[in-house]
Amino acid sequence: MSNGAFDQTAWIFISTYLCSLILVGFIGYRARKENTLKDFYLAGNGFGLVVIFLTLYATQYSGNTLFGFSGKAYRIGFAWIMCIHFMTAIVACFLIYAPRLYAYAKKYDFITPTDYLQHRFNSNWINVIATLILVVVLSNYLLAQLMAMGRAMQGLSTVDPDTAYRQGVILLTLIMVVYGTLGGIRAVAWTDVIQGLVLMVGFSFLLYMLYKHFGPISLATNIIQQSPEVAKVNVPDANRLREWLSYIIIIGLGSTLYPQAIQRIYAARSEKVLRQGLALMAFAPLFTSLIAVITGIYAIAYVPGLLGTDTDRVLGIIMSMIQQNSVLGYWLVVILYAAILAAMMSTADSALLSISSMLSKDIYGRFVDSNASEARLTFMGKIFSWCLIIFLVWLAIYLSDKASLIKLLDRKFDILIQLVPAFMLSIHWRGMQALPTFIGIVFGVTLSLYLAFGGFDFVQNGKIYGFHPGLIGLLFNFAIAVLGSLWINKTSNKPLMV
Amino acid sequence: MKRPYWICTVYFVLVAIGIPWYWPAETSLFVLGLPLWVVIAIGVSICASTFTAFLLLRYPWNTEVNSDE
Repeated sequence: MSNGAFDQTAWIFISTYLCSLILVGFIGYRARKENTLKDFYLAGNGFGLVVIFLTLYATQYSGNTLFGFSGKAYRIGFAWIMCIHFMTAIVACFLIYAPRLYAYAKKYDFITPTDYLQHRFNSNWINVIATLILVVVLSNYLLAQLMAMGRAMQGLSTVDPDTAYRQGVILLTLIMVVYGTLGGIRAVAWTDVIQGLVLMVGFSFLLYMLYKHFGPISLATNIIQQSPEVAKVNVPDANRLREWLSYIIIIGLGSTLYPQAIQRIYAARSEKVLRQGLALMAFAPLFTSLIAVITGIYAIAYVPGLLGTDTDRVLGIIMSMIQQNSVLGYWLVVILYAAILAAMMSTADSALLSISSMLSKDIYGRFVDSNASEARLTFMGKIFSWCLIIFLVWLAIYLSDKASLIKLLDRKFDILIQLVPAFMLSIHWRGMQALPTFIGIVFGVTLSLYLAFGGFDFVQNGKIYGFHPGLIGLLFNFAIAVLGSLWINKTSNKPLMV
Repeated sequence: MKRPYWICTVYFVLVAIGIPWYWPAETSLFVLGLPLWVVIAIGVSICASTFTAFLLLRYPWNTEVNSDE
């Protein structure tokens, strides 16, 4: 995409922006109050409203949102409007357990998500499997962000696409790890503030640019209606409608269990701040996901004929077209590219920080060196970050053209959602027992993966009649946890409290 | 604390209206250049966001911590 490449001035702008992130990392390092896990991963007493909202926003809206959502809208048309529903569902699902989890976290000084499980069940088995699931899912998520960084660079550079991809992955990851290692959650959250603001401004510009360059969306809809892609305007078929419902449930529930999301609940300065931050987040899909869908719709009309993983590049292609139109369009695209980099890096840095906290505290601190000091655990967290990121950079380069971003998104939720009973049910039901909860998780994960990868005829595009296999696994998981707990409570003659 | 069944009912109704299962396959109704079923889905999303924000800002949270766990 050499015709979309930036000139020297634009590169200076982008480079200055990226260097400012390292500077923020350094300021975060200077601002640390003590060398403890709580200070490094939760910023001591926590953040106020502006930081909490923008860090939640920048973390939730990622490379998947921008490239994956516009690409999916390009592939299936207006039906992908379902994404604003499931992104809103995430905030609604926080209501199920965030208020009580916040109260627990403040009372018992939780650092990682599994601190709650350890407190609630006191079971190493549940702790290990939950940590394993969260680390695997988050590594998958992180990998998707690294791949998106590479694709973003393909649209910027004049060198060949493969080289641009590799350079993008390595350079952006390096910047991210440096500021994350320096300043911990402070650096991550403060850079999220910059990144969140750039992202919001960039998205507003994108909407304006689409209108200015291509005309009203009615024009795009007319073009699609007169093309072979007319089905992308029609009401989705029954299978797609079931998929719509499935996405609302699986992403609504699953996304609230992302460790970085849970740690942001812990990091809110007060209940009021958390409430207000989440209330603002409830409207975020309308000015983010919706614009990604509109971009995909414009692309169906004006960039027809893309197939496979190329469809995830529609945003870059649309931006290249706008960029060539005028000086204003060119600079708006430069800002938008900064926003895209912001979206990917802010999500990736939060995921990496959460993984390092879990590997350090929940695995190393619990099973390898239980006498390790806080400073030692913080140091080990940084080491784990670097080791993991080196492996994932290699994987991102190896997998560069092998998987669509949305496929990666689909599978990880099938696994993540199996932790719903352990977190959301147990926080309200005191009768829930450790053993059936553990068996439920194992059975749910196994069944979900077996259904997804078992080669069954009734599984099409990774879904069963439109439903994610993870939801089938969750039904059995839920049943095992509830019935098993009821049975244990009954046979042990302990009072069952609900 | 009272169980908030009415909240679940509101969300259930919003989901039932937002997913366009009740529309015929081919519809020629458009508003502002968008198919009507898409406009309704966006409208439902705005309602869901507003309702969720209301719950977050005005509804009392159950923040009881069981100290004997």
